[in-house]
Formats: sequence, structure tokens, C-alpha cells
Amino acid sequence: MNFISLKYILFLPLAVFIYRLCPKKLRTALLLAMSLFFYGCFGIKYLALLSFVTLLSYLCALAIERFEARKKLFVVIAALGSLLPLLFFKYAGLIPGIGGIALPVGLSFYSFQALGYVIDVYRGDAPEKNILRYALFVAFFPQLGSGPIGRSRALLPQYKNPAPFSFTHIRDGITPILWGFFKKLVIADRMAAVVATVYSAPTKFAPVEIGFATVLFAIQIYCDFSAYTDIARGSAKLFGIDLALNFDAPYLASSVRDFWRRWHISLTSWFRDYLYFPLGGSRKGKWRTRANTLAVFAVSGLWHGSSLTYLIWGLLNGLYLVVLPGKKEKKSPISRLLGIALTFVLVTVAWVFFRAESLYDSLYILKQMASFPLNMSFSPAALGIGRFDLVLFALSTMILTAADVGFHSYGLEAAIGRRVFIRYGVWFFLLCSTLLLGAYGAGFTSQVFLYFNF
Amino acid sequence: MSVKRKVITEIVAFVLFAAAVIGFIRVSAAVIRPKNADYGTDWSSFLAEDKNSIDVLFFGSSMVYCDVVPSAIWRQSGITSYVVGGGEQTLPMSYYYIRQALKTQKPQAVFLELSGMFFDRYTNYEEANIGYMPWSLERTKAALEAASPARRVFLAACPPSLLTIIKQHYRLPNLTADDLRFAFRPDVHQAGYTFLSKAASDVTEIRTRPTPLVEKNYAVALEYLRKIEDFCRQEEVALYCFISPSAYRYSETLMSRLRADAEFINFNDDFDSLGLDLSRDFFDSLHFNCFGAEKFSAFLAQKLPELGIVPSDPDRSDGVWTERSAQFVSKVDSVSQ
Repeated sequence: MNFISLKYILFLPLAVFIYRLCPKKLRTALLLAMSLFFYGCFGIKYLALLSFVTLLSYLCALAIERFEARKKLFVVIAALGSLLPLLFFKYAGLIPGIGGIALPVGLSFYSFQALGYVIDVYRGDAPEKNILRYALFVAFFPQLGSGPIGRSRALLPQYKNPAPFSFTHIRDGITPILWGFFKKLVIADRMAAVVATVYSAPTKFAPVEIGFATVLFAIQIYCDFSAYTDIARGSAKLFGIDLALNFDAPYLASSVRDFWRRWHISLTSWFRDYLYFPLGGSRKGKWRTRANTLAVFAVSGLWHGSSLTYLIWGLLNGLYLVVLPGKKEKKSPISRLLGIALTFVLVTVAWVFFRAESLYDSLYILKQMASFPLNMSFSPAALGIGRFDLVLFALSTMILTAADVGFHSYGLEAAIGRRVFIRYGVWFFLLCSTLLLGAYGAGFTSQVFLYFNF
Repeated sequence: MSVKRKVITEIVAFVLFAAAVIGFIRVSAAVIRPKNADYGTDWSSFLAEDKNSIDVLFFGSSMVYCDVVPSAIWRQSGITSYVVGGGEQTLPMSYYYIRQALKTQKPQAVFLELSGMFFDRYTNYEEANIGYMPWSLERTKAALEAASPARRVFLAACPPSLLTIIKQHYRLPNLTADDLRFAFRPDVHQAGYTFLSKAASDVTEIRTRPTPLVEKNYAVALEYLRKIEDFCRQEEVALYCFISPSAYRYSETLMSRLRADAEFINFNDDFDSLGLDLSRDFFDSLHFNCFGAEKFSAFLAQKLPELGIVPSDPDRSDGVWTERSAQFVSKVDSVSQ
């Protein structure tokens, strides 16, 4: 069941309503049943893999506590059990004769979440004894498809002691859901059409058009992925559950290092805690730190898929961190703005590898964008858009920037929650503009969330 | 702020929010709704007709709304008529269209084009056909019975204005001044007719459509035809079923099956009397363009009195019909030139 669907729009309020009526003791079971129903809508067969990963990690965690001396073995078993299916589905396409196997929705996310839990237990956390509660931790439907990857310490207590009903949950849940729908349908999916047009045949377009599409992709992927997270967080909030923050105005970052503190935070922090630190982090000298950084980003790239372009994307981002100067306070607004602009350019260059359909295309696109003197021809019609779309792109980007500044620096989300008329005004704007300007329904090609592919 | 005051503020804000959203949806829908009803009636213009002012109502698919010109019938006979058609209107859809239309009109006769007897059970036009209907019990029933299972609940539950936005908001960049002009004042000139000017060059002979008879679909269509007959009998409205003339016809097998199950006028039998010119009067092999439609409508204008249908109110002020007729004639003239 896709978030952007009538089914979900009907399912969510009904689920919240039933959940709120349900006795406290039964809520875990009910929410788990709802989550399995939600996931089953993608395909009943996927439930088998979800159950396997859940059961294996649950038993391994119990075994770690029980057989202290062999706890490493159980972490290895859990890691193999979680990662082998992931590796198989991601890389089966590389094996001759096996190809076209669809990646089960959410596998990359819930397998990491389950593995993170087992490692936490290995490191001393108490395992969850209640299997229903643990299963809910892995399968909670808002985060199941594309995260954010949750941590057991943050989530299990919330499932154990469900928050009593409060209007603030509804109030604070609706705003991110509407904001997510706006970002996905008004910004990401409208831009997606231009990006797809150019990236499917880059040789047919002029350098400025390619550059334009690349910038649009940078905005598209942010809006698409963060929209999923917003809808997930908003949906969870309706049940009184707080999910981790996954994006924190990443394009306002003034360095690449800062960017990675704000982008896909739950995955970045997962890699930091469960890969970078075990590799030694920054404690084993300058060269080892650099190698560790590159290794983590290479794995991050490979996590996205088997294509070489993902690996290069990861390594390039790692290289930025290794080569570029480290933490430096940028005090003057001008140097900060320059930092933001430079970071955006560097990250966007890396996105070319992420989005292009082959390494050849990536290099061609970069070569075109760097050509000198730049051919300035730009034909919106060739990109399949008109003046209306250009104005809409400009306005929606301004709104996005203003919102990010507001959320990051001025506590806008809390302010919207507190001030009644402002909140309803924001809801009105988001709802009506999404209805009228969203890329959905007749005349538009529906787009799945990009991270459903990972 | 006290809790009581907080609650009151919240309720007031919510009511204002809901009213603003509803208002926004209604206004937006009125603006973006296609003003040229190229796929049958959009109902808003039909509902703008004076109550009980129409003598004959035509129902059916494009075989009606492309072929029957109410203003041409009126010009020749003084009989007022309206085409309440819809793209690939199936018999279940026709049934609910008839029920809805008879809430505001009491015609002497209902004319039902029977090509829909051989349509698929569900068609791509069902969203438009149901979406244009006013929000009513008939619309809900039409959605639940005539729409394909996957769309039923959505079409039944979705308010017309919201459905208009969902289905038509892609028009936003292409809105014209007419979209604003006719936003709240429907264009009543066509009376359900869709004006087609192009003349097909490939219509050179009468051909047979290779449509197979799908018993399951036909049985459903027949069931609803019986319902239509019962309903018209109950409403004391004469029902005339017919097949529009065309150059691409159902096979004799289908026609003989239909003849066994229903009484109808096959206007293909009068094809030669219509004075049609294959190279000039067809939009495509199925549909007339404005020239062919004018000829067929003139023929209908002669036929209706033979069936006992007369202008119900000869003293009525005919301003709107004069205007409709003049507009049609002027459009035909401009195409001729």
C-alpha cells in the first residue's frame, strides 16, 4: 500500500480510530496486525521474508543474552540472516541467468533495523522478550517501506507503554503528512518528469538543459525521500509514536560533512554506529580514519544497489569528506552562504552518478555541464514543460527553502502546532495546493517513492 | 488560555478551515471543469434547463451526442430535445442517467440508442460519466452498479467537485478566459450535442464491425434495458430504442439477436433516405460530423411527429432555442466556408 494512494488515505484514519478505541493491552497486537495487513498489500509473499528476519533477529537477541560466551556467533548468524537476503535481492541481477527479481519493499530498511537491534543487545541492551512487541518494532507500517531506520531504545519503550490519546498527536501528525504530500506531489513528481526526460536520453539535450534537470533531480530526490519520511513520522505520530528525524534541511548544510549530518540521518547514523565505529572510527590515526570513511561511503553506495554508479556516488561523497577541510565555524553570513552553495554543487555533482542510467551517461552529463564555453540554449518545450511549470518549480523551491529554514532554525513545526489559526492556514494551503497542483490523477504518470527501489 | 476557550478556538478554526476547503474545491472545480462537453453532457448545462421544458430526451453514447443536434430538430419541428449522452454509455449507466434526468424533466419520450448493448461491461469513460452527474442517490447507485469494481467505492464516495479536480486539474496550465466566464454559468448552447467539423477521408463504404457477442455483458445490458422499460412505463414516458445510422455497423448476427430481445428503430434502414454523402458527412466511420448530424436531425424532426411527439408548449418563449439554432447554423456555415 503506497502512502500516496486512496487506500492509504482511507486506511490511516480508520487504523488510528480503531487503535484509539482498542484496550491498551491489545494495542501492540492490533498495530502489528495492521502493519502486516499494510505490508501484505504489497504482496503476501513478502510477509514470509519479513517474518524470517524478525524471528531470526528476535531469537538471536535472546540467545546472546542466554549464551553470553557465544554471543559473537549469534550476531554473525543474525547478520547473515539479515544481510544475505538483502544481498541476494540486490545483487541477484549480476548473476547470469538470474535477473529481474524485484526487491521486496522495505527489505533494506527493516533488515538493518533488525540487525542494529541485535548488535545493541550484543553491546549490552536487554533483549525484548515479548515477540509481538519486537515484531511491531520491525514491522511498524509507517516506517516499514523506507524508514527511518529506528533504534530499539527509542521505539520499544513507546510500544510497551503506548501514549494515552492526546489531541496534540493528531495535530502534530497531520502537518507533516500534508507537508509530505505537498513535497511529493507538487515538487518531486512534477520535477521527476523533466529529470526522466533528460536522463533517459542525455545526448539529446543541451548542457544548460542537462544542468537544469540535474538541479531538479537534487530537489526531487530530497523532496521525494523526505516526503516519505514526513508522512511516516506524521502517521506514526497519530498513534502517539515518535519516529527518528531523517532529514534536517540538508541543502542548508555549509559543508559536505554537515550535509551528511542532515541527510538520511537514520541510515548515516546506522553506518556510523554499526560500521564506522567498529572499524575504528577516527581513533586509529588520520589515514585509517580516511580509509574508514571511504569504506563506509562505499558500503552506503552499495546498499543502494548493484550498479557501479552507486558505488562511485558513495565513494565520491566519501572523498569529499576525506579531501575537504574538516569542521570549521563559518561565522560570516557570506562565507556561510558560499559554503551552502558549494556544498549544493558538490552534492549535486555526486547525484549525477546516483541518477544516471549508466557510468557512460554520468560522465557524459558531467562533461556537458563542465563544457566551456557553455552552450546556453534552453528549450522548456524540449523538456516537456511550459512557463506554468517553470513558475511552479521556482515558487515551490522557494517555499521548500523557506520551510527548511523555518524548521531548522526557527522551530516552525512547534509554532505551527501551537498557533491554531496559523496551523489551519498552513493545512489549508498544503491541502488545496496539493489537490490543485499535484502530479496525480489524469494527465500525470504516477511515481513510486524513489527509495522503494532501494 | 483556559481549556474551554482552547477547545472553542479549535472548533471555530476547524469549521472555518472546512468551509474554506469546501469553498476552494467548489470554485476550483467550476473553473477547471471542461466547458466543451466533448464527451457527452456535463449535467450542469442540463440542470440549467427550465424544469419540464424538454419534449424528448436522448440517451446513449457518442452515437447520440455526435449525431443528434437538438437545435436542428427544434428548428424544423419546434420540438425541444436534449442529449444526455456519455462516452461509451453502457446500459446500466443509461438507466441511472434516465432516472436522474427525469427528476427535473418530464419528457414525452425517451430515445435510447442501443449500441451500448454490445459494449464492454465497464468502460474507460465511466469516471467521466459518473463524475459529471450531480451528487445524488442515482449517482451513488450508478457508481456502485455501473462502475468497475476497482473504482466503485471511490466514485461513490468522492464528491463531484473533488472528482473534477482530481480528474481535470491537469488542465490548469491551459485554462482560458472561457473557463472563468462559464465557471458558474454553464454553456447551454449545445444541449448535449458535440460539434464535430472534420470530414473523414477514409469513409468510402459501409463496413461491418467485428464486435463479438459477449453473453455475460449482453445479459447485464439486457437486464438494465428491462429496468429502463419498467421505469419509463412507471413514469408514463414513451420509450423508443434505436440504432443510430453509421458506416460501421454491428453484424447481422448481433442485430438479429437484438431484434429478438428488444423492439427498436434501426435508422440504418433509412440510411439511403438521409441523403448522406460518405465523403462529406462523417467525422469517422461511426460518427457524423456537423453536416451528417444536421441531416440525421432533420430526419428525426420529421420522424418524431409521426410517433405522436409534438411541441408541448407552442406558446413558450423560444429565446434560448433560437440562439442555439443560430449558433449551430453559424458554426456549420463557418465550416462550410
